[in-house]
Amino acid sequence: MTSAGEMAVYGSDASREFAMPWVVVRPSSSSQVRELLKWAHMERVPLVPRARASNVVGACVPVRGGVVVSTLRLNRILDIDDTDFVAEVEPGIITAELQALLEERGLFYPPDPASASISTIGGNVAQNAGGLRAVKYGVTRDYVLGLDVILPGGKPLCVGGRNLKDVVGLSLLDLFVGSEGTLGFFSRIILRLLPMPEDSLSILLGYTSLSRAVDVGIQMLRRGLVPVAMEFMDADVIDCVRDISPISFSPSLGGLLLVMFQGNKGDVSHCLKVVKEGIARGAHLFQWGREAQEKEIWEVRRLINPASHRLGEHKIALDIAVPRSRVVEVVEKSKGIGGEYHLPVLTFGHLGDGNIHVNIMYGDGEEEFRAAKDAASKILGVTLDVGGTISGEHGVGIIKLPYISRQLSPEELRIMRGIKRLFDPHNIMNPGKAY
Amino acid sequence: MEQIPSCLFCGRCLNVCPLFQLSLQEELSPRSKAFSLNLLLRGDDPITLEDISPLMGICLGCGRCYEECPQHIFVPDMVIRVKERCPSFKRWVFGRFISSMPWIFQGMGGIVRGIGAMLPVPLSVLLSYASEPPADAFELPDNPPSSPHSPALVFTGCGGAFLRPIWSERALFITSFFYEPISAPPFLCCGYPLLFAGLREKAKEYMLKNIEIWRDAGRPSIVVSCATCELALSREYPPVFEDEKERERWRESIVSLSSLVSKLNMRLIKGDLDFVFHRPCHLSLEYFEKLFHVMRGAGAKIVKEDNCCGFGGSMRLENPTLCDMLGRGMWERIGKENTVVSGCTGCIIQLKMMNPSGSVFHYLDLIKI
Repeated sequence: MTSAGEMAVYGSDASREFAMPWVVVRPSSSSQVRELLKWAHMERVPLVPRARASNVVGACVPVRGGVVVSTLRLNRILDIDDTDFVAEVEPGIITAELQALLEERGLFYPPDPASASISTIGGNVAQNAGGLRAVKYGVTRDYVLGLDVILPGGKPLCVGGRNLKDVVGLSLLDLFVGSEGTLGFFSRIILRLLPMPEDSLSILLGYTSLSRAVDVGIQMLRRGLVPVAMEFMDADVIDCVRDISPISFSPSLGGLLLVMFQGNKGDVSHCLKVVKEGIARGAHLFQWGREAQEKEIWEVRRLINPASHRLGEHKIALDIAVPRSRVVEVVEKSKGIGGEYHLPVLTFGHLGDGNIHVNIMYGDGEEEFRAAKDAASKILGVTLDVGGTISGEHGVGIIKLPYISRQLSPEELRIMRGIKRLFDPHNIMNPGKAY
Repeated sequence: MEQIPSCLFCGRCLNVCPLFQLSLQEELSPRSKAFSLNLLLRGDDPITLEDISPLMGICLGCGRCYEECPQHIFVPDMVIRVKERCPSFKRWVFGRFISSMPWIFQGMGGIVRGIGAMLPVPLSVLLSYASEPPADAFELPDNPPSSPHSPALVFTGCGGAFLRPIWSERALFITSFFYEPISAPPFLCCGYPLLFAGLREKAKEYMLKNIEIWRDAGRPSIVVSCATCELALSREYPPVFEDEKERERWRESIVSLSSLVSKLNMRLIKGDLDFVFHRPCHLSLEYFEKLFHVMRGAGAKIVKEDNCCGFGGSMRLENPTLCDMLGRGMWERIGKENTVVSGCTGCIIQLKMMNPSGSVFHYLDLIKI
């Protein structure tokens, strides 16, 4: 595909940055991908892998031109094995579709990025996507057992396999997960599965302040409850979703806590009992449910991203992560920084793993954009000051690249770039991204 | 061209767009259309109206993306705006086809028939469909459920006017249970197929004539039997009015025929009735729930089919391959031997074309009068 009209969409992603590709291709077999990587390596042409392009850091934007490679036709499920508890898939399969198919067989792929119904396994692995269920189950990396990768030059490489334990050599597998398409092209992904939990229940708690909501979350953990997901939303976020939320929120609410428990029926009921009879006392909003009611609770969380644009046409979406004990402090400082620049700052996210989504909203115009960038820079500074990271789950892409040297030392960066050169000596794989 | 809300690239539209689902070609997706038009309007990128015009022609106009879009972007509107500025021969032919309907169906369309291959639908299928016997599965109660109280016109679109006049007879009969039908000149095409082909002026001409018929009849209720006509009448007509009160009056006058049918205490004439109900994209399945309730209560077994049939209006000329693939895919899912019922002329044409020997009906065909 070479016409500008057709290619335009392939030049952007959820970061809404844009660069026009030179060409777009849509391989449907790994042999085509091998040929492509052989050619691109020889011709020194950049390749930018792309699936549904739901990442918000510009990982799919062809900033140095080149060929955008759509993986959407590489979407087969190659095997599902309920003895080894693995699924072997091509990169273009939609995460939620795979999860639904697995569920029919009583199997469970836990990583659950907010984009699961849109994004693909290939994209999730490339970005090491996190998501709501990370508190109990971990992130995408924890479920990738093996990868078939096609390296620049067309050479295939198989790393890992179906083994749950493997301590032989350095883990090349771990290098590829979260590599943002910079090392090679995934052609087959082996995922670890779990049995589908018997029961699932979610709880929504509302308090007049965010710090109270966070305290309650911490109390749950101290009481020995291990939720699958534990999310918070600040007062501004509640205001944003209020009009479109399936659940109504009173104006007095200053913080929400959304918690999910999964396990056997007895365990889940026990968790509910502990919350109901103790922890939830004093909550201004207390709602819990299974199935449809549970979905309704989580719909509130999923509405945040689209609803946030009511406060500004554009946003800088940070996904910092800090030790859990510093969440409230960092939220308050972030809001304060937003105030300094007269920009709305929304905070919400994964309390359970300290991963805070900070959305700095801004309108049209260079001045507001510059103010938002300055505010973002300050918030990242606060994050690093408390021992946090500038990205918990979105990755770096092009959006966070300017900040990376504030977190990584020159030596770390030198090693990372040296590793890339080993895999990709001509820097054709998604150049200008990540590190 | 006026500004449009920005696409956030959230990707929700990808999960509902029939064209993207079929092709996995992102350039055909709603977000591609929204994004490329935004780029164009931004003016600082290497993209022109001519670059995006072919892409805009490949949209079914189903509006399913709108139902999902957090920015409330109605991509079919954007498509219309681009098509208006990029007239093409195929869109002109489509317009001629719509405006030639009376000649085609009244047997005076020799010249039109002569260019049959250029037409969006095979004429033979359309011409023979008029004479196919209706299903006549339900009979109506002897006594009307209420006494008629106010005047109404019946709007059956091109379907009732030309394709299958039996729909007009039945729609009129059922309407008479609830309203006093008024004798008036027949309505013209609702205009939506012309609008979607980018022929706004022609469409507006039809809309104004239809509005005139309504005015002359004393601004009565309008009972509508076709989903696309209903979309046009309720969404595209109001902006045409200059007088706010009259606009409101128009809005209030639109009545869905399915809502009337669902008030009838129908009985199955004999045996069982199993059918697949194909949802027209321009109305939701929920919209027909009351109708299903009544028909199921009378003993019908209904399977709901919520996928787009791929009719696509003028897209049939611009990319017939994709339209046909969607239509064939639908029959593969449904099973060619099954009876399919719908509530939109376009869907019925498409389903019939993709399976000429299949049993395809408007729900009016099920109701014997």
